[in-house]
Parts: sequence; structure tokens; C-alpha cells
Amino acid sequence: MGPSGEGASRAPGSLAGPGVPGSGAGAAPGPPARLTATHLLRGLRRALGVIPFGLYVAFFLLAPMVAVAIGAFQDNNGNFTRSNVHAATHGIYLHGFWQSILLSVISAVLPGILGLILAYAIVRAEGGNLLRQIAITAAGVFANFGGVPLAFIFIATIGSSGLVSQWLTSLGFDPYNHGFTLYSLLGVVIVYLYFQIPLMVLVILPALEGLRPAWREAAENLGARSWDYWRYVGGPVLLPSFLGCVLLLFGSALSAYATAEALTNGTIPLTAIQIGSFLNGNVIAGQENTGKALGLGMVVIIAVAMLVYVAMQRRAAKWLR
Amino acid sequence: MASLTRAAPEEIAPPGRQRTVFRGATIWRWTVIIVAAVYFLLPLWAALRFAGISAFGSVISEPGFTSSLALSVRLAVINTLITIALMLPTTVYVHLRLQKLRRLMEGSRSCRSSSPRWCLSWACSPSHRASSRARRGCLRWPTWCWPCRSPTAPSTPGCARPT
Repeated sequence: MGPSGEGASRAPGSLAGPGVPGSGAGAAPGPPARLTATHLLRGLRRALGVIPFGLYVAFFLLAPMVAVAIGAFQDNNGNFTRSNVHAATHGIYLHGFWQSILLSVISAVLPGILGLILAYAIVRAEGGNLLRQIAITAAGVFANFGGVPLAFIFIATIGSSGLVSQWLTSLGFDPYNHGFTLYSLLGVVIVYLYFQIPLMVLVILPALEGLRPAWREAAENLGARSWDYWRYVGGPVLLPSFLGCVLLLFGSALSAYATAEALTNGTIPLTAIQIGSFLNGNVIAGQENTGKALGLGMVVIIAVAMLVYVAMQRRAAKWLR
Repeated sequence: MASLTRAAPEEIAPPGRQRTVFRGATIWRWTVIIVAAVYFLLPLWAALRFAGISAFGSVISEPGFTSSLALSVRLAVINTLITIALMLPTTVYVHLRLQKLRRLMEGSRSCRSSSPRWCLSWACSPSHRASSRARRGCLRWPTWCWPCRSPTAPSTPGCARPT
């Protein structure tokens, strides 16, 4: 790429990033200062296109995050204190974090596996494109289901007087007499499946479509059975994408709030619900900023999950090119 | 995220064992799809039965329904327009010119699931609380008592719960 070459016109799929800074300096002898300035200008011009998005991220993602992080270490008068973080990592709030993480892990792994099976069935089903289109559209709708309406439809289905509960009772098995209740952690997991499975289907489909039939044919030509193919080819290729998607589901479950709140009315101490109660002003005087410390805790958990997610995606991208 | 290669779905099925395997796999796939369809559609049907078809007629005449619906639709439309106006050009631009930022964009997409909590918590500070109360005041929650889960007058003055 010469210094005057228009790197931006390269094909989107090119492996080298367009306009790599300094890539032309060694090839063409010339005054390096001018070249750097040219590159800098070109880089700036190119960056203009993402300024609106950058502003959006700065105002709606970074600013709240910084405000939460600062507020977590301030008392009501604005002085530095560690008592908020101390309160947020002890007692009921620590229990809330554990409950949130437990709920999120269960409602990420379980829908992850079920969603993968469903997505595979959709990809390979004979119905062809029509079925795929219907399934993707439906998954898009169900993945955005949430909040009070979702809680309501499950109360109507497996609530104490719900439709399925009544069916089971008429068959001689009342789930509510056998320790089951919708308003528990298990109930919340069942409800979360309703939007987590479609989300998994949506995010794992591209990875499944990236599994080329040629790989399977090659494996079969070498005498592999179905299990061998999945053990040595399909599984390893799919694993980073799968784990990445599960981490995405983890984040989604961790921050889901309205459904659990409507369903359990706060009987399960989830961090998101605890933050919600701070937001509603149900707070002991002097502890107003503990909510921000809880928020900071959520940020830290999500940040760790996202770091792992990015690492996984980097490995997965190698195969999906 | 679109896959670059479209798989050729047809596998040449020679006679004998492979055809049986293929048929078994087909049954398995359709079983999965049907079970999933039941799981997703049954609750909707149960909710429809629970609420009663007649409720749809009377809900329109409920006081406050029209304004709530209009507000919801307005918020949804504004949200959608802002999202499309912001994200469509940016995504196309990043895809064509700034390949290096694609991963960052995908990362920010993932963050969407966790961002509401932070913003909520931010709004939690005392100076923001009064305004957020006022904001919630204009979104009246319909009559549904959550502690006892029955369609009666709310036990606490409720509000639209943010998702």
C-alpha cells in the first residue's frame, strides 16, 4: 500500500485493516513527518463517521458508568468513603450478588444448550428457507419478551391456578403440593428460558451456518461417525462461539429485572431488584450511595464476563471468516 | 455477523443405512421444533384464556388505556427511529471503512444487556430521584395487585416498572 493509495477502497473482507498507520513509510522514502501527518489526517477523517455513535456511547454508557463508579466511593456530602462498597459486599447485598450470579449461570447454561439444539434443528430442517425465516422472526419477537407481560403469561400458565397447573392437577399431580412454586428461583429460571432460548438461537445461528458441509463430508470420507465428527470437528469449532453466546446470555440474565421483580415481588434478593429498591427510594438514611456501589459491582461482573466473551469471539472469528 | 457461505443443505443420501439415519435425524429435528413451538405458544394461549377474549373489548374503554398505549407506542417509535438513524449509517460505515472497530461495535452491542442497570443506578442519586418520581407519576400502572397476584386495586401506588 503506497502512501497515496486509497486504503479505504479495499474489499470488506480483506485481512489487513485498511490504512494501517505507517505501513507505507518503509516502502516509499520521503519526509516521515509529512507522511505521519497525512496518515493522521486520514485517520481523523475516517473517524468522523463514528463520532455520533461515539458521542452516544460516551453519554449513555460511559458517563453513567463513571458517575456510578465515583458515586460508589462518596458519602452524601461528597466526601470519599469506602463504606458503600463495604456495605455492598457484605450481608444481604453479598447474598444478592451470589443469588444473581447463581440465577444468571443457570439461566445462561441451560438455555444455551437448549437454544443450540433448537438452532441446529432449525438450520438443518428440511423446511428450508421458509421455516428458517419464520423461526428467526419468532425468535426475534420472543427474545424481546420480558417484564410484567412475561410474568403474567407464566402466572396464567403455571401459576397456582394456571392452565398447565390445572391440567396436571386433574391428572393427579399438583406441582404446588410437591414443592414447586413459580415464585421461586426455579420459577424465575423457567420464565427466563422463554426469552433466553430465542436469544441463544439468534446469536448462535451464524456460527452454526458457518459449519461447512464439506467438513462433515471430509470427516465421513475418513470414516468418522456422527459422534466422531462432533467430538473432533464440529464441537471444537463451535465451542468458542457457544461459550461466547452463553456469556452473552449471562449478561442478559444478570440485568433482567422487571420479570423477576413482578414474579417474586422481591422475595428473591437479586442485585438488580435491590438496585431497583434504591431507585424507588426504599433506603435507610445515609445509605443512598450503596445503590451505586451495587451498580459498580454489576459493572465489574459484566466487565469480567465481557473480557472472556471478547477472547472467545476472537478465537471463533478465525473459523467464521 | 452474516455467514459468508451458505451451506448446500442437500446431502446426497445413498440407499441403505444412511437413508435410515437421515430419516431418524429428520424426525429428531421436527420433534425438537414441535416441542419448542409448544413451549413458546402454550403460555401465550394460556394468557389469552386467563385474560378472556372479552377483556380485549373492554380494555379499550378503560380509563387511561388510550393515553398509556399512545405513550408506549410513541416511546417505541422514537426509540426505533433514533436507533436506526444512529446505528444504520454507523454500522455500514464501520463495516466498509473501519474494520478494526467491528469488534468494539459487537462488544457495545453485548453491553446493551447490562447498561440499563447502570443508568438506573445513576438516576438513583437524591438529586435525580425527585424528577424520576415525577416521571413515573405520569405512567399509571393498571389495577393489578402483585403481592396477591389478582386483578384488584393495587396494594401500593404502583408505577411502570422499567425493563
